[in-house]
Amino acid sequence: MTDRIVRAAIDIAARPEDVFQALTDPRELAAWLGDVDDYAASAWTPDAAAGAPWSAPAIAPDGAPGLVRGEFLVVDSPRRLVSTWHASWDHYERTIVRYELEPIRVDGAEGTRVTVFHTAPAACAQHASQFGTKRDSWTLMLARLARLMTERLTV
Amino acid sequence: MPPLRATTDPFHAVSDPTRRALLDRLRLGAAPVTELAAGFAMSRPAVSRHLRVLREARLVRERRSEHDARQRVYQITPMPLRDVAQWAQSYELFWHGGLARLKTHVEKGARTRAREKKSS
Repeated sequence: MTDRIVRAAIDIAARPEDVFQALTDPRELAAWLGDVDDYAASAWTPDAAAGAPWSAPAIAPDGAPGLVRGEFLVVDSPRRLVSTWHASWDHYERTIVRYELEPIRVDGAEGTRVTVFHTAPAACAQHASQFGTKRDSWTLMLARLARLMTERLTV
Repeated sequence: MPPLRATTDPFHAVSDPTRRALLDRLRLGAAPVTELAAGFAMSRPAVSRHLRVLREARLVRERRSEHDARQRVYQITPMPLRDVAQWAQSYELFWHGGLARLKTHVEKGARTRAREKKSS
């Protein structure tokens, strides 16, 4: 059983410092994770520190409002941020999110390439995978049922 | 793999139309048993028995209400039914949208800061 991992990246026309703050400031997290539109750009909060807990409203994969909690594990501004990730729609299963920030040029100005790696350690997935270990008839039927249910959950 | 008792078998659990209706309702969000029972033309103990079957099949779980610790609510647990690919698929979708919103948010902030710098 290997880790589950998801990787995604985007280029942003802003300095790594500004992107880093958006990944650590609770109000900024609420603004983009949760699409909460009451954030004032001038707001300032102290730098995040390793070990600090955070939480933010977030839009679940199925589009419903949810909540994410976490604890910063590595705070290496403005290059690297690692945090635990417990989402309400996963019943707060412990997963790990790592952001890598790389300075780039965007339209001739300072920009940032953000890459996110989201990992669920194999141990977390044990209960999710135990139905799939044997390909007998009922596991196949269960897989079909699972597809049906998750389709309805994620569409 | 040891044979499953009928009560823990997810197929047995979803073979009943009432239990499928309960799962359908719980997909919309967690709910206390009183609320769930109100939607069905059967007694609350009967609904509780159906919920117990779903719980033993690990399709739902029971937890304390966030609003009232004395109240118990039922919540759907899709994780036993999801495999690795489905987890990844849902988070690919999530981060696709999340990073796009991050970009919009940060670039809006960068423009605001640039304007403030110019005017001061």
